[in-house]
Amino acid sequence: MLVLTRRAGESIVIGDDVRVVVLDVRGETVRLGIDAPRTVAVHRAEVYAEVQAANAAALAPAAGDLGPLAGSLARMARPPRPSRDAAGRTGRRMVRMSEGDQRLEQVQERIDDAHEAAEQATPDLLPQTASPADPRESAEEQGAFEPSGDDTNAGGNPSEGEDTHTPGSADSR
Amino acid sequence: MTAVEELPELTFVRPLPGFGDLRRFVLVDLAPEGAGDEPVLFELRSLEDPAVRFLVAAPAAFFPEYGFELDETDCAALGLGDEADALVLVLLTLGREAGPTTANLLAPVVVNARTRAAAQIILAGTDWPVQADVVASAPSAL
Repeated sequence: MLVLTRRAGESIVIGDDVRVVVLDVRGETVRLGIDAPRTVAVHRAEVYAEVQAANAAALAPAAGDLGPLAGSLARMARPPRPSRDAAGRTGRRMVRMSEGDQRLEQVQERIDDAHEAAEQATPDLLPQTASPADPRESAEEQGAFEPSGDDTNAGGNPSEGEDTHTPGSADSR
Repeated sequence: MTAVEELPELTFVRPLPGFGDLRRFVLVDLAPEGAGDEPVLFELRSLEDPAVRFLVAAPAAFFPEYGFELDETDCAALGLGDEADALVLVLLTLGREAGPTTANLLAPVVVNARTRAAAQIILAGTDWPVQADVVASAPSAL
């Protein structure tokens, strides 16, 4: 093992694109900063070892059909939620993007706002559960961006409603 | 069962920890023929080493409260631009000696459903367990 002595504020470089900076040394604790490309995963060694061990334990038996086992596990699963988006996924978002990416969020907000505006403009035409595209519906949606389009409250501010619009439903139209 | 050749191939942008260089996998739906429900359980099978296969589950069916935030680095590694494209799966470990089947909630597999890029994401700074009891979390009666 290569051993180097570094002080706080000094760094080492591994390969061409990994840099490890000693940020702070206090007693027995060292704080490190790591700059690495996205393809390089950086983890605490004990957490990585834990996942390695869990993966090894999760290896399914080499022989045999997993179907019956899956069947018995599936019976323990919760019934699918009744409310789904148009893509057939359950409505809730499991993954949230990190707040670091403002641009994506802004795009998502615009999509959500457009949906809310569209729904307000056509309370009767938009079904509760998303349905295949309907020409009337898309025409109304376009109208929603023009406050003077008709006498519904298309120009009203979209209110903060329940989070019923997932990105999936946006894609499906 | 569907032939492996017909199934969409997942490409792991980073290999699963502990499984060296295996990157090409397929996801086999384990639902019985004709089952109308949303698929919940899959076999994640290596195309490069036939001995490597995992039982994986869509966690929402077992852990309705489960969720996490993907950081920018992981999104970029998977090419994820839209959270709706993220398919989340958790690896199940079959109970040994009548022990419960557990799910690894600390390190879910996230698949970009659009590009089929996949990676096992180790969730830093969360308390999700590496062995969550599947039985205990399921409702006692349906």
